Amino acid sequence: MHAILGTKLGMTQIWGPEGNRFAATVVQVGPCVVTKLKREDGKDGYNAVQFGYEAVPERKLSKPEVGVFKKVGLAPHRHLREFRVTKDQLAQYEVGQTITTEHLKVGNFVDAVGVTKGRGFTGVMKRYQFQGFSMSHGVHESYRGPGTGGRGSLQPSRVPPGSRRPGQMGNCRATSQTLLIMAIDPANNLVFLNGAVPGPRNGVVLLQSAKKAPEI
Amino acid sequence: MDIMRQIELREMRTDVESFRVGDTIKVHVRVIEGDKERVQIFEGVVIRRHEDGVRSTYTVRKVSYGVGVERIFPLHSPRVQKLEVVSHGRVRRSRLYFLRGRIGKSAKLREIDQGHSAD
Repeated sequence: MHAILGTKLGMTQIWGPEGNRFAATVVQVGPCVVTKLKREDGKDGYNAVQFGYEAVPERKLSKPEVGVFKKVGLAPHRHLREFRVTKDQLAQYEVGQTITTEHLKVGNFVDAVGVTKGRGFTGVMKRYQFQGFSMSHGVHESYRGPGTGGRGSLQPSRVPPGSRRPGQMGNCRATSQTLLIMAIDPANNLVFLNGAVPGPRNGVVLLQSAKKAPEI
Repeated sequence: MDIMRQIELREMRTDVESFRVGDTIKVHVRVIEGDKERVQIFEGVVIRRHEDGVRSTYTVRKVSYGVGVERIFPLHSPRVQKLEVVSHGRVRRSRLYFLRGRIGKSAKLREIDQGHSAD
């Protein structure tokens, strides 16, 4: 297993073998269809597998998008992703092949990539857990502000790059690493991950083999 | 969310004894010590029920050697082997936190006759 797309259905809890409770995110994954193999020695210059997720009617896509699927004689899909593989791994895939829960294994670890919930333009307390200021003791007007930054005169009279300031929070790509696959329901294409996954319910999630999977 | 409901229903127990806040119950808990398993009974008054599908819990309070002990059990926990209702207490609220401040006779609840007449 290298990567697969799915939809986050929500969170719940499931019982472990000893009756322990585990937080679980339910992700409906696949089926995904391999649309293209990119080869090092071909036009693309690197090895990757491109795949589509969520079949849609042709009119939902633009003509160039439809063309990708027409070329290989597959039904149009809403989402297209690719993941890098080694040359040997590339040999395991072929165009038209479907990727399903069968490619996942209970007990393995995955990284989940999603787009986090957008929180708009937020202050520094929400965004960076700043403490803010006392509500009394002579503090006035500035209860949730960022405080001072930059200083004056000689040192350094400018705001250091990367300073934590108010701004857009969320609605950006985020990865939850090393989530345990606790259970798989192949009939409904469901995967149960231990822990939280970025994004809202019904958000698209990419599952890929964990980068930092612990040795077992 | 339909699938989520199905998943939760699957994780829920169907054999949970019905009981209410104010009831005195015996909870038979499986305790695993090393590789041995035994059943421990926790008997006390239900002072709170929290209803939320699979995540539902209830809190049982008892006074053990003069010390008040409260335990929160997941309603659908597979570790609870059995649940027995000993008696029904007559209560007028859903959270019996007032029992915490009471000891002895004032911590007692008036009993309801058997047969769920108040239900």
